Amino acid sequence: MGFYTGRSGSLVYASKRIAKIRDWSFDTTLELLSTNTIESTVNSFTPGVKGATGSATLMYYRLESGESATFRQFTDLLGKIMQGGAINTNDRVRLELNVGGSSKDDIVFDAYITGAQVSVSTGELSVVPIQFTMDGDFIQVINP
Amino acid sequence: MAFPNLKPASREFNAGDWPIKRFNAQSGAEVRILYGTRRVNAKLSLTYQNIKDSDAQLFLDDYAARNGTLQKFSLPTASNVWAGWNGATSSINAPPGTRWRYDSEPNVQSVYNGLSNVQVILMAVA
Repeated sequence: MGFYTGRSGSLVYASKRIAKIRDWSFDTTLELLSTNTIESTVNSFTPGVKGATGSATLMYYRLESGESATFRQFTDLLGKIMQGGAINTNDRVRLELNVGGSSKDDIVFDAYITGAQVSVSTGELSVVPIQFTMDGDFIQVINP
Repeated sequence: MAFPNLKPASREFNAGDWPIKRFNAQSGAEVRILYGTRRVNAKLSLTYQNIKDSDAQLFLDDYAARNGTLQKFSLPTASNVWAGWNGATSSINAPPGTRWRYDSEPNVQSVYNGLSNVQVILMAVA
């Protein structure tokens, strides 16, 4: 297919795309454990744990008639953190980040929503930026 | 069984002292009497960072083989224990006439799957 743009990107939760997102990003990190000894003059490491965090900007958009069959509303994710009572393991979500239309462009993982903001500004569309942290390993990753 | 021949991540050496008795007079004068010719109580603290569990086990096995803090042993001049020391090994090894023993049990801290941190403290005794 060649190049990709945001036009082909999406964020999927529970098999439905979140309606109206502006962007998403995803960072994967690897912790390194130092194996330096006294006489070392350069650093050496052994791999430790890996992890991933991400963010997405959801539009404050309420589904219109007929859309609920195909899309999920931003409140489905916002409600995983902005809620009364304790947040528990039931609030873990399985997210699917799509770069393109093919399944080989998907990143699938379980995560907790760790941050959410509701932003309202004069002359601007209201948005809901969220942050999430992967829990466990990747379920699916981008592949050749 | 030999002390594990691994390079430590850090090493701390305390030189110890000769057996000396001090007497202080009311005038503030101090009299010191030397009771022995050997420097004793030198300490060597070794830290091993993020080593394989199989290497960490070597310290536990050696500690058990020496009946803990009971038996004395020597550390060879060529041992990796002295890695990174550019001075004379004899200056940070057990003082003349003394040998090392475990001062306390090795401390093994599991930090990651298959990796551990180990701290060993040795004391030189005659």
